Amino acid sequence: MTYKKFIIGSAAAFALSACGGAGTEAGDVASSATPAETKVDTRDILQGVAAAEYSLEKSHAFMTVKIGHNSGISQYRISFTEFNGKMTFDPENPEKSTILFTINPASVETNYPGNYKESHEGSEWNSWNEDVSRDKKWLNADEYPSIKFTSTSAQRTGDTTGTVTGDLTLLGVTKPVTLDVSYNGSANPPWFGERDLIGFDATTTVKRSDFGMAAFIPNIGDDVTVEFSGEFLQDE
Amino acid sequence: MRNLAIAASLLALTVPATMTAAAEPTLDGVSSGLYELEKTHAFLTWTVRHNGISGYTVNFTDFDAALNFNADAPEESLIQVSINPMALETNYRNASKKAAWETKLSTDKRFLNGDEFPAITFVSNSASLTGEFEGTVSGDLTFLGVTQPVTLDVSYGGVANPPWFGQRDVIGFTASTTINRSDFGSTSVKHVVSDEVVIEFSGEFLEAE
Repeated sequence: MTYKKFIIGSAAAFALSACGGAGTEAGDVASSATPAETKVDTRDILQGVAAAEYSLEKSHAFMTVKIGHNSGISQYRISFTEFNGKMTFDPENPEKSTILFTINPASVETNYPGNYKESHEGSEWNSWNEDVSRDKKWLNADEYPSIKFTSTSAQRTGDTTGTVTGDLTLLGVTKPVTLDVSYNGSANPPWFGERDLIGFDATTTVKRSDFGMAAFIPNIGDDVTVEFSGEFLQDE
Repeated sequence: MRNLAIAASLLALTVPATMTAAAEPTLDGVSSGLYELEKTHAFLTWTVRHNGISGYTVNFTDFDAALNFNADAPEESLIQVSINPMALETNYRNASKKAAWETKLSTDKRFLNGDEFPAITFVSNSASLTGEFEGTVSGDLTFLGVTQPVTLDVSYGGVANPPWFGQRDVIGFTASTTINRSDFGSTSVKHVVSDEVVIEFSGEFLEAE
């Protein structure tokens, strides 16, 4: 197993309880008193990363969908709060990486600030989150409890960028989609020991009508832009 | 929802089924004057780099804005924004710890220090057009008790007149800026959390009655 010190912790520490372990007040890499052999060229951010299986580090991962509202005068945001990802990643052959993502459509978060019941009289749902996740014209989660992306190929487009193509299954319909992906580097926070933590951004735009969701187009946009940013932790 | 269904069926009568692209924005006929944030269609997030390798995004879920919009000379428009640091949504996974994490972000002196500074505000003082529907808006951002000039990149998305608002115009914008939190005295957890904070807004304003 390869091990790369990317962030070097110094003696002072304070707790970041949400991160699940002790945080570090790290000094500047160049100025910290570290042995010469651990000095790393931080510009080659693929170096020393383990070729391995990785799983989503769920407390540092975000999946948001943007969709045009009122015929695109603004972008409406919906986030998913429950999703998982498993990846095989080989830094020397990143185009051979594979990924499987699953999203729970019942985990929609719209941050709706109003009184849903008052402004949606006659709706069978108790909240806008519930409406978007369970209504048949939106995510119909009772009938389709999982949204899935399974990669089928990947291509490198630059030092740390690429595309990943795969099958997206949404509302029971499976179509190929292509993600634009960028690899952001790796880290080795002390609470994960020698296990590498790698970070990615990914985005794609799909037409929801391709998957049978066509309600209120074009007032509510057909184009749906999915944005992901998050970290994956090397499996033990 | 009933009104939305009516709007949709009206649109279906007038808009060809093949048209999926949003209409081009226009300023023609848009009212000038006071607009208020239409809070059910407005999103404001801040994103920092975490561990240097991913974006950590937090939503502000309680904020307001008053916009004095000049449709004939948009560069003369003015806006005031007020954000409540005590209302955050992090999508933190662990349901039993989520509220504590959001409270910590809001109140800890290392983060938003909301007990001491109960409002984050932005007051614009100038704007300029950089394109037909794009521009910059400059003003004072007050965060953690420190006031600094910031400039937002703004694009105007267009106007809508949903029937439930009668004659009142609804105008949409998307805006973003990047600040260095250290300019406001926030230097905590420097090597886990970036200095740069990307702030993004997209949302709608409703013409005041």
